Amino acid sequence: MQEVELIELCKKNDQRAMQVLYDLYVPKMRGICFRYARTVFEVDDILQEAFVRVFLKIGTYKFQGSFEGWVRRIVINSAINYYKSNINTFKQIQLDELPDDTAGVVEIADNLSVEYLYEMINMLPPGYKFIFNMYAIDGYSHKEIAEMMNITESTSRSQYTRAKKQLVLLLEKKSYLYENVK
Amino acid sequence: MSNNIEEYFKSRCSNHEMHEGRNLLPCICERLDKIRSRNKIRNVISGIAASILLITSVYFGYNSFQTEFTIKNTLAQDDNQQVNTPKVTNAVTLTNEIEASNTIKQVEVGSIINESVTVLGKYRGQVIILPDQSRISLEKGSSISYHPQFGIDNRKITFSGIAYFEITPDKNKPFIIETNNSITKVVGTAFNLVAIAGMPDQISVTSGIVEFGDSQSKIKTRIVKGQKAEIIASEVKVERIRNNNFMSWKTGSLVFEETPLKEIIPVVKQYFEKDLILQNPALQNCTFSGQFEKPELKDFLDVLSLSLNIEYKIKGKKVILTGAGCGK
Repeated sequence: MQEVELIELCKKNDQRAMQVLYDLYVPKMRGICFRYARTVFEVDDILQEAFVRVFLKIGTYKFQGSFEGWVRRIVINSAINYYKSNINTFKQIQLDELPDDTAGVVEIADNLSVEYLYEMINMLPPGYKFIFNMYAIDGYSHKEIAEMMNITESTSRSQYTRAKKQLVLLLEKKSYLYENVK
Repeated sequence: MSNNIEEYFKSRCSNHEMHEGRNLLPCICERLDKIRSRNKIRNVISGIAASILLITSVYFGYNSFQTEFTIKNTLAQDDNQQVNTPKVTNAVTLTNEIEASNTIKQVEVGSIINESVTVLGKYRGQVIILPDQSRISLEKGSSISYHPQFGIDNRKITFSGIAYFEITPDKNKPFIIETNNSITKVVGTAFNLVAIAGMPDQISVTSGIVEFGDSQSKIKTRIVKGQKAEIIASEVKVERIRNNNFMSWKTGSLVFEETPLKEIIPVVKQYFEKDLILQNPALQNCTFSGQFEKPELKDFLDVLSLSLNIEYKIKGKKVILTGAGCGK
């Protein structure tokens, strides 16, 4: 079945189409949730909320941009919503632009498992974790992140720099990072 | 500037898929039905309200009535708005009286002002003592969060997962547990609470009384010692506790007395984290008796399959049972 047909059926509340759509997207969305959530139970909480919203709003999807991107955004928004009280607190922190001293050419060991990388991301404080995920991995711009998280663009930028710096420190501590000598 | 780190993480993580996990769709559909039917009622009510407004405003003169109507509306909105003025507390000087009985301290204190304190259950049976001396045993992967002000004005926590709560009595400050789907209010008591997405929230009370209800309807039901309750379609269904298997994740003991196989499915799910799948629906009626202390999955299935004369196969998160069924 074509994706378009599937979406049209879901708009008509067809239960079987909904199950197909769910099965199709849930593995990737679960992967995304694991980067944002803290525990397996919370992953399920967020996924459930996200798919409720997907099916409630599917009628408004106008086939502009990829459907996966549309679902992904709902999932990430659900995660933001879930941790609202935890992640938005850095609004009050005094902002100072940090120089990006992680800009040197570095290589990361290539034998790390994805699960291990997830663990590293999860070690970041909640706010940093969200911004690192959204900017570096999910590919949102600072402008988009600012809108989604209700912060300013400059906050997003400076928090991202800090998040990256902290991640680099973590990787360095575990000796997974080395200067790229050519 | 090198984008190595971004590129590295992006290429490895952005399309990573995870295939293990429970099917959340039945619960999603239930929530959808609830939301849709509520919206329908709201539309009908606002339709009626609008027509009353139209008729009366023709009668009384439009302007005066409209003013009153908008004032009422803004008032209602103010009521709904959550007051979100964070008090600045210094999280660094916050003394955390949380301690894990097995000597491992697993506290993640927010380094950021006013951030709530979160404890994640890193292993089965991890014990947390809250500032009010209430004890919580967490199942692995469960989490509780509370505000640094916990115990000062209120005793409120948010929770996800499975845990056994022993709450220190304090009549002036009821202990409130919020999950995605339910609210539990207690004064001082002990109970087991299960709050997992894809399953109805479930409470089993071992001492005292609790008030338990759907988080949206806010209607609470009293559950007393020896009772368990589940939230199904926003309603609280109360039952008598027949065995202590709801605590098996903590005690390690499983007890079955002429228990139908269909009732063993949720126990296996909670204790072994496996889905029991009955290939023949007639297997549901088979009853099983037996006692186990901290059983391994294989040992349990060996005894089960021998006494019911069935076969089992373990496939990842699933255990498939095959064989002839049992008569009623």
